[in-house]
Amino acid sequence: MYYLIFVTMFANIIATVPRILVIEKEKGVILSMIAAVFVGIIFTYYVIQLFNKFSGQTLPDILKSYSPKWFYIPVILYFAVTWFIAGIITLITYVFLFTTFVSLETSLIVTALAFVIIISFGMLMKSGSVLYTLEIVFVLLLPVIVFLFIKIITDENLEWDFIQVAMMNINTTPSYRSFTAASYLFIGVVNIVIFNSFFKEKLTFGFKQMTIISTVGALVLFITYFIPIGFNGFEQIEHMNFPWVSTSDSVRMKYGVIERVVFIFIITFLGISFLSLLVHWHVSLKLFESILHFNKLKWKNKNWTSYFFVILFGVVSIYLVSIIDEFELFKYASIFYNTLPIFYFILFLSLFVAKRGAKV
Amino acid sequence: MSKLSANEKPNTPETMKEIVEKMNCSEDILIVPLQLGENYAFVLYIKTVVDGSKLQNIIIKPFFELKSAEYFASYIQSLPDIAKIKSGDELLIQLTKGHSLIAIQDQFFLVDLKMVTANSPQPAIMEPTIYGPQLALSEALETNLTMIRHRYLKPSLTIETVQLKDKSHQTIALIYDKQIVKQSVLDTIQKKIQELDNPLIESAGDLQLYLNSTRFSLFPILLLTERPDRITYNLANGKVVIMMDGSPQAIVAPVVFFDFMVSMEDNYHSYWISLFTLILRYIGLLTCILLPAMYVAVTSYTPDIFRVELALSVAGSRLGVPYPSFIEVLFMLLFMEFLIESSIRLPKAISATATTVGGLILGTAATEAALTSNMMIIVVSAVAITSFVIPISEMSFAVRICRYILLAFTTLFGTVGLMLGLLGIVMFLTNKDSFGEPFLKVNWKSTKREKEV
Repeated sequence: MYYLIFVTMFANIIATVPRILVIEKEKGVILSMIAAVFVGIIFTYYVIQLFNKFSGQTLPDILKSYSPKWFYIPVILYFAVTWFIAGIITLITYVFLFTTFVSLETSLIVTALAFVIIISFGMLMKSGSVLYTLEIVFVLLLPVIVFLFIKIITDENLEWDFIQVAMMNINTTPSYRSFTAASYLFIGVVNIVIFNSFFKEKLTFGFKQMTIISTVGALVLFITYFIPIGFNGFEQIEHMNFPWVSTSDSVRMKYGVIERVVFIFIITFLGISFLSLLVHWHVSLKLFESILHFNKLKWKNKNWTSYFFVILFGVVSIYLVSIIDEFELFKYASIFYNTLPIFYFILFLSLFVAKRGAKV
Repeated sequence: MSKLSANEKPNTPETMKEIVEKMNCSEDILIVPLQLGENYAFVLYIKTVVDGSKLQNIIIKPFFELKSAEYFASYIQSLPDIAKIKSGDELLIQLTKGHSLIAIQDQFFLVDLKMVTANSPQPAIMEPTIYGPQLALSEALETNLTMIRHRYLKPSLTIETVQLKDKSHQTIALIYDKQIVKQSVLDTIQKKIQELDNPLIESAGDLQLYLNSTRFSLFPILLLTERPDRITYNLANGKVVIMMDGSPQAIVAPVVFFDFMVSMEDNYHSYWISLFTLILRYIGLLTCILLPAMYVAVTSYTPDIFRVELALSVAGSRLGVPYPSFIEVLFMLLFMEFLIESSIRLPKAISATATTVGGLILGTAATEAALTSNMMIIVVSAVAITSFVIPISEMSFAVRICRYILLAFTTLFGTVGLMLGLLGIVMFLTNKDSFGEPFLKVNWKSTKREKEV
């Protein structure tokens, strides 16, 4: 369970979230981040509480048994599309990032294709295997991430003065945009809509768990925001497309085989964004499958619906990679983040409807 | 039946004649009439599978020592090796397995007089250890079962024998600890064995392949071992061991990925030493999989990852190499595989020559001919050495193949391909299961389980 939450948190470091935060830097980012931590933790708490009532069932199962058809089909469709978009934002961001910083010669489409091929296999796996993969890769990468953070924070080029300047803006009222972007970090828990079928016993979400998640969340969020500012200066930071990667590029390891930290950073976060992508698209695929089942796509006694979706996902993402540029990506991503409250609302609404239907 | 006078020849029983005819009057089928005075008996057996001295001591001698045929019959009945007589074809199979049919007047008895060949345990070749037992399994099922029973003295140890339905009619033994075995796994295995319908299964290796559900599989989901201590260790952990007559390996199921990385030696050393060797093995595994692909990624796609000095020296050593790095890697890896393959297959006397000559080619000569870079030689040797670090050779082969998949992926997609390919392999492994148990999974509950052999 923690993995689902944490992976999303870390994946956002390289995604568009820090950029939005940095651009909104004078509009009360700090307060909105604090607000996001609280809202995020309450949100996580309620989602887990609600799903505890239906332990061992996925959201489609729940909705199908407890709500009318006209209600659940659009809801699940909406969720599935949202998940798909969340995944595609991660994918495109990473592909851009990789071609910008590591291999300029490789074309975007080839890099995207590499992702899509491996991800397609991952999406078709059993949900349990997705969780195991998540667990094993995350556990392997966590020490590297912690090492990178420590390395970056203890670097001598980090100017605490800039951070203090950023802190000065604490008393401005938070903006809607920075709040939604910051709260996106806590969205990982929503993956429970599919993975709930694996949590047979009730998840305990007490004070201890809340503390862990809120501490890690707050830590990640503040590192995300302050460290790039500390390196690049309060004034200059908004000109960067990928604040975090540029930041990590300013750190050197004197005695390492790989001298520039940025490469380790990018490779590590490749793993993390891969996991986030895998989880998002797997959930999306399962949601699509639960409502659309094409009986026509039967061939050799096998239903190819899921293959159809996988190919569709791949084609759409490669097409988008080839047409979108970085600024458009940023624009669409912030629009997407701004719609998130609607998403939360619909999630809770559907769960309440189901709860009333089930009378539990 | 009337008593015969001393010189009269008794008639061979009809059933025995039929049996001989059914077996196409093969030359090694003998019917030996025993006669002492007015008592007589017949022994039908296949000479090539029956232990001659056993026959002499257990059957023939007592016949001449006991007073009458009735005495002899009751003597035979109380033999420990007496077997139930089955009907028709099964009787024939029993005969071919070393039973002998004895006819005393009207009664028929079946006595197990199997000649056990190759029953001496062999020294462990595939999985040698410095400490721990030095002897591996033998090729005879009885001896192996004896070994296991001697090592695992628990009344809950259960041995089931099943006869294969193929042409060889070999016996398979399923061994497990009734108390701790996972029932679902046991059921699956039993069902699988019942469903086997392959024409000929010759060894545990064969059987392992057929028990594997998918036809094209790369990673083994059953573990083949020749070490009795590994077997008992697994039994104690609630796993099922399958043994086959005539094969010096046993199959262990279900297994997880970590099982393949553990040598029995780990249990005989102190904590830090075994931890060190374990870590060493994982580093070896990573090197073996990653290094060739990494070479391609670094030389052809992103030379700037490494620090400048290193990047320059890699590029410098590739001066004069006329083709792209992936061809170079492929070329050298293939040569190395040839070398490994030939030194496995050749008789020991010749294989030394082969490796020396091959070593020369892979060594300086290839570099001097500007076919590969110096760096590549180091990479290839590192890969060759590390691929033998994996204790179970089945896994080692699978990893060797994985390497090429990763190489291909890197060649196509560059550095991203390298990382994604690795993640893909991890996903592939987690998606596998061995008789319902997930193949690759982090076990938090007890770190001990990772060491499960």
